[in-house]
Amino acid sequence: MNSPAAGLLGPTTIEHQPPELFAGRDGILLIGSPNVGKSSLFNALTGTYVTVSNYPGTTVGISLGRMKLDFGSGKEHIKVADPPGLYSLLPLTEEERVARRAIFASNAHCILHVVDSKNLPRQLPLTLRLLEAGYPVILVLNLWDEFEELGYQLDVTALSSRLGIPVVCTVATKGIGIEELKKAIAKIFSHGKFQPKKMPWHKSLVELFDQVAGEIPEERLPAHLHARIAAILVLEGDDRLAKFLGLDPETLKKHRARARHLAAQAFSIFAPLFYKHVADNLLQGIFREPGDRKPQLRERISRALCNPLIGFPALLVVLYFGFYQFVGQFGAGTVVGWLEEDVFGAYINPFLNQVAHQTLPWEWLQKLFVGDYGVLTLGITYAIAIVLPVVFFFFLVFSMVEDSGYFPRLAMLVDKGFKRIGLNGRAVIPMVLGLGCDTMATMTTRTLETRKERFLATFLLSLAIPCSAQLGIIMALLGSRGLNVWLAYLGVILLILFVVGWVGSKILPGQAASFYMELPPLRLPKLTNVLRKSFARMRWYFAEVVPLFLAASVILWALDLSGGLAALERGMRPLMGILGLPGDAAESFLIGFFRRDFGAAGLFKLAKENPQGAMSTPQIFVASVTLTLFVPCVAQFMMMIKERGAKFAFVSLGLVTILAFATGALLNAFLTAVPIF
Amino acid sequence: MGKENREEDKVGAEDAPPQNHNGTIRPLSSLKPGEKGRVRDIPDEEILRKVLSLGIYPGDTLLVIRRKPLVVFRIGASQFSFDHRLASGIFVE
Repeated sequence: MNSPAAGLLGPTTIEHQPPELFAGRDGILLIGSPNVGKSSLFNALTGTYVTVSNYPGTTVGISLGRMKLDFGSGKEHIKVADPPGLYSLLPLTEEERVARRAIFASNAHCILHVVDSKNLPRQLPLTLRLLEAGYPVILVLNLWDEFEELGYQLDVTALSSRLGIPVVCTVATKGIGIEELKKAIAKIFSHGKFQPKKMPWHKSLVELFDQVAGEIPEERLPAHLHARIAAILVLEGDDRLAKFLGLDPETLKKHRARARHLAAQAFSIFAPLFYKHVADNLLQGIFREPGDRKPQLRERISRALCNPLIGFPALLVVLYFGFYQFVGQFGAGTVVGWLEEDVFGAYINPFLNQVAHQTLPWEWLQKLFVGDYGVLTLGITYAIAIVLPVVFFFFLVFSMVEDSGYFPRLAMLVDKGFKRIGLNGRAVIPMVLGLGCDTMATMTTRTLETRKERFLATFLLSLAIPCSAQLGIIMALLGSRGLNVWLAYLGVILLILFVVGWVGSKILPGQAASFYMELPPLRLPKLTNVLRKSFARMRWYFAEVVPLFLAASVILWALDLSGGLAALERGMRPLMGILGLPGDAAESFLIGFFRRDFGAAGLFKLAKENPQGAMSTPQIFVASVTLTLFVPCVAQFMMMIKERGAKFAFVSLGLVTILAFATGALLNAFLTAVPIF
Repeated sequence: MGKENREEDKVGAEDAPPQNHNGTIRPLSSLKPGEKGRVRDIPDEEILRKVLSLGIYPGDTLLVIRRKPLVVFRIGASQFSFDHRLASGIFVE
């Protein structure tokens, strides 16, 4: 298997055996709840960079890295896997499911259970469950600096001996404790097989566990899941797992009733309390929390941001300076202008033109590289000069805001509004991320809890959320036409977002899930982390975008050469007429499908380069709105198929197209009748 | 389409446990900022599971920081935000 994680990233079916995470037993797995600094630890261990964030739910895939380990006999590389955060072994969200499957598929040499030291009493129960399942565990007490600063106390040696496993204190962001941790990992590699740790269950319950475990067909049991643990989980009410294991629902019902009887309460409640009780006993006399303290500055800012009267204006400030001024004006304006005109327009493209004309004998071949749809003059130029800077500046701001811990507070603030469109506050992340890259955002919708929310969010992303490249160009288009046009654009898009969301929430069955979220402490973003994270996202974007740009260029070139493009454009011209647009705009819509931003960029050129027949303000306005609403780019469409299924993707595509052109036609009719611009 | 939607939404007054005489058991949603409470009862199993899996346990002491627009509270070193639907299903004393 070349990419073991790929299978785990796929759609949500648990009805197949997850592939093993590592080729041999040569890897370690990082497990922990969100906001404990798991990803920072991953970076500290592996040296390579993945996303580290201060928002629960941004690591949706499994990051894989490699670390060097000194075994005394010599250094060796081992693999490190970092799945999303999980709170417990009973997953509530899709990302928790991904993480849990990683554990069950884990032939890892050891699992690092990373906890926030301050929250040890609440996170130790998971350590106990991992130990009970027989996984070799190292307990990592991260954020140890905050722990000490705040006056917490813990006898680490005593905890280690009570648990019977290594316990290491770290400050991952500062690299403290990493060497010690590496030593502990190296030591575990020479250790033999771990025995499952016995928990003080009542004898009658243990008998029940073993009875249920005995009913699990061996071939169904994930290779690295202890049968007794599987039994406990299904008794706790894990129906998905029960189905996966092929347990008879009727028999299971009886077993659950029996467990309820033995525990004198629902076993799903008894079990977590049991582990918590064992954890509390373990910490007895060795862990001390400090008394109440006055809220410090950071805490006061945090509280202020939760206040709508301060939180919303703060949002406007972030949007205005971060996104409008920095991304829009500076990134999409200044930097793009410089790259496109002064670098590509003045030097690179003329040079490439010359080279192509001198070396390539046929005109059709020259056109492939340097023509109107040339791979170099269109594909590479658009990708690097227009799209790249916008996306990079967006990710920079996004990462900074993300690391500060502001998003969970924003999620809380918008929850009530989002519930009206069938989502809850949790959806704020995919929505804001969509302003950067809708494809990436579509992937993160899997963190939403109910199917309804995932479908709605995916659809709204494909309809009404313009990605940053698109937005940047549309900003430039509209910006020169005055603030009122810009506001009208924003108003129409928001109106559509809310109306369609509201209607969708009425049509689709179910309700938005209740909103609950941990609010991580506000932290000052670390510049190196922000930069590295932005670059990591850029890499992802680039790997995905450049091939598409090139493919789009080649397809357009072929269509152009064969006359197909002209035919298609002619076919679309009447449609442009309905929108009141010049026929040439058809091209933008056509190539818009290859990338949304690509289409917007084409429109930008059309508006700029066409001075005699320059598009009028209403035309620009209608075109911008329609193009924003129009079909998502190919990449996003592929992601929709992958995440929500082909049926949903094609239905969405149809709906989005209809909605886009209907809105455009309506706006055109309206603006013709009432010439407000 | 909505088969897997959870049934967490039917919590409301009808699920409220009987108030004791001096009315000291109250839903979390009714606590004012600055008030403290001990988690006593979470009658709805779906909510209870959610809460337990976040690492919040009966007996924990919580401090309410905000009530609007959503409930924000602190337990130990962590802060959580719950909407009123969830918060009204958590009873504290």
